[in-house]
Amino acid sequence: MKYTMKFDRSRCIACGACTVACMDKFGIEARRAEKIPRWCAVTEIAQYADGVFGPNPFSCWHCEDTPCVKACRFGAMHIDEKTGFAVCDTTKCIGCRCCVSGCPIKAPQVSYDTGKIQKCDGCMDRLAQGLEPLCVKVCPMKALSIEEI
Amino acid sequence: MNEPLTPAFEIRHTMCDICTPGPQCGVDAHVKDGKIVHMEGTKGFPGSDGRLCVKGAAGRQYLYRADRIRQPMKRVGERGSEDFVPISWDEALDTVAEKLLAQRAIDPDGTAFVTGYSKWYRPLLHRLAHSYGTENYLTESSACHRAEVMSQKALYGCEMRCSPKDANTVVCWGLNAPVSAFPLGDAIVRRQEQGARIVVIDPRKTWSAEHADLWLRPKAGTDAALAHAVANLILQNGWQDQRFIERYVHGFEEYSAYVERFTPAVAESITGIPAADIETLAEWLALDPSGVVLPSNALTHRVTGFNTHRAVLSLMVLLGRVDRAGGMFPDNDSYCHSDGGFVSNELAFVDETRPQNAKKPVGTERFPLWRSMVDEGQGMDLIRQITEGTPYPVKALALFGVNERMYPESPKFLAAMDTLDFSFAVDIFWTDICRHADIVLPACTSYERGEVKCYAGHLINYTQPAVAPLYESRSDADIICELSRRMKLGDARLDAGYEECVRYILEPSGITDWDAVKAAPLPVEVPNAKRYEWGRYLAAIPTPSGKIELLSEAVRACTELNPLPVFEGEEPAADYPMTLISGARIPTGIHSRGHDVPWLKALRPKPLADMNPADAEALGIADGDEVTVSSEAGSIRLTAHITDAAGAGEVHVYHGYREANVNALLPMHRLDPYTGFPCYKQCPCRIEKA
Repeated sequence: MKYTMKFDRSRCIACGACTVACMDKFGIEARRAEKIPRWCAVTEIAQYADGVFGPNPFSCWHCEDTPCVKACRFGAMHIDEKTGFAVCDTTKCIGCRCCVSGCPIKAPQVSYDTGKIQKCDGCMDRLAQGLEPLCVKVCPMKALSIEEI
Repeated sequence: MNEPLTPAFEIRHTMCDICTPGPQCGVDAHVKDGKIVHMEGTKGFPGSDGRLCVKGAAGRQYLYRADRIRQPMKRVGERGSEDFVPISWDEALDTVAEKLLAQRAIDPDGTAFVTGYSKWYRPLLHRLAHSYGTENYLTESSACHRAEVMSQKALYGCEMRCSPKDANTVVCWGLNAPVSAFPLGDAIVRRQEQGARIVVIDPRKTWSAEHADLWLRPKAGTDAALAHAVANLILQNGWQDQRFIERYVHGFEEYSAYVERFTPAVAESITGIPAADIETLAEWLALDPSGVVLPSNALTHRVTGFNTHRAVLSLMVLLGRVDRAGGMFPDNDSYCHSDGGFVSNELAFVDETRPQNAKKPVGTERFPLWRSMVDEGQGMDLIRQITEGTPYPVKALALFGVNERMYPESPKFLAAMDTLDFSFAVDIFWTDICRHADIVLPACTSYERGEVKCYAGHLINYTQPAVAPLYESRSDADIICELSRRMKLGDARLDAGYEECVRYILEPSGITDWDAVKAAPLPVEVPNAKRYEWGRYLAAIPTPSGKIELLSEAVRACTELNPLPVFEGEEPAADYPMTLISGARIPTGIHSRGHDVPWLKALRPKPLADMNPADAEALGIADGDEVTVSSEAGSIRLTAHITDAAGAGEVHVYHGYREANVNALLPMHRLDPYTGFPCYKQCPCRIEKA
């Protein structure tokens, strides 16, 4: 069964609940907050346009083109057959950052703790147990959802 | 690859109490070896249904915050120093009991029982004060929601509310619900998605403002003029419910004569809102019979707050949207400010041990209207009374979860504590208050205790501890009951403990098997809950005149203040030309509670001064610059955040930061003469590059 993550921009208040839930799941410490697989913040274009605020969710899109997979020379970054998510096999990853360079939004990040890639895996472990990804579940405004395709 | 989840933990149902008493979302705590290793929301829980806000999502770090108080502590050094030594609970409680009894022998009213943000134990603390022999029971509600209640009582005679559930026009007045209470925010957004029009009135460009169908941006402190202009348009166009007014409304003539002066053009010059937008608001609200106005606490947090809030509330009265489907209806305070669909014994519980000859509580001589409507002291007068000793000296404080950073000119709270004969503080975390107390007692969080809570939809919950209280901490309620026992106050009910107290208070709910409530995975239905029957309120309106009072006889009975909800503007001061607005909600903060949670701090690392790009340019301030914000009461340093969220001439600062306490800038004398509320949302200030 393959999945796609959906994001409803009109409902996102950029509160960061998804970010904290993700930090909790990956055991990421606060001072390392810039490496969170799902990050969300208000991006303000106030100074440039007429006061437009936008939530700026920052997370892997699990895109079809998967430049991260193409950039990986070690077969670590791959598409999970069951879920369709772009994930990293950390037993093969050497932390060379080629996938980071390949990604237009720099979604994969090297973990401080392991020196290897740490990225959104769509909470495959939860999906396998019939649970929603944590960021989807926590979202107070229901801006995130996951659908089967 | 992530390891699959292993069932090596047990899921226990608990509740988040970081914000209170609003949503209080259900939490599934994953417990392993006596520790909570993960938290997520409880599916099916009323309101939240598995979701959490960012603060609740960080609940595990809140629970295990590094500054948790671990043991009872006794001060051995100077007040204000860190010189404390750990002592046993026995020694701590005996010392507190002995010192309080010593003060009681001199004058029981020389002791004040004060509570800060947590609300779940309040009826017990209130009763403890009474059993001890004083009515000096003060709460954080002196600066939070009570002024809204007073405004409702002045107008309607009781607490009233309405729901956006079936409204096609929702006017959110100073309300940014997705950030402050997400279940309500979600409900409002859902209405909008279903085709309802959302109007937001807010000087701050909030998320709600940006997503509204109509956003009106009044200059800070001018909302009453806007409300009066809307009222005037309603009356000019004959949109009011004349039959309803004639039958049920008192003071209509005086009121309508007063609002006549607020033409759209006059209101535009006062509020800065284009007259055409004011006309649109009036038309949308008046011509849609399902339209509702949802005001917020923020309207009352200023020197003119009571009248501002009344002015806004009056609109629903003119339109006759009271006590009919979709309109205003009375609220039941079942337990601790939450409505479970029944009237509890809470008032009787508090009243049972009330002392007969107690002096008037703190602040009530200065704020007689407060005294007539609220069964508490007005805590905003506490520092003054301790310092000046009038009308009588207060020499001992019992402090439960109190943080001085809530109070205007906050440092004076600590200075006042240093002059006392005795004080003790109960808290979860080591706050600045603790350093000035003589005894400090560690309290636990909601995850470590069992507590009762009512939810909308006629539901009740009784949580059980997910983990044992950390270190030597105890629940506030247990501390209150134990103090009653050790002081030998002869209060058998309080001595019997929390569970006996709530069983008595909640007897009218019809619940007999409390163990079943405790064991249930979700809140259970209240057997005796009653649906509100439309018409009950109008059949016996509980005001002095027996009618809804646009002109308040309650105000007239005990004060010289204007009984009409008059608008009073404020001219900018030469030295302090800008307006400081403190406390507009940010997602990661609820008072001081989020600031020391590492995950939340990571999302918003520094206290910021939000200011408008045009103001910043005129003052030569760039984004990220260090700035000084000053008022007549003091100054603090902050980091400038240049943003369109702030209107011209306004500086927005979130409160509760130790390193930049914005409420220190609010002058103590700037209180609403009706309610005693401080000026969080309107204080003259100046900002300059540091």
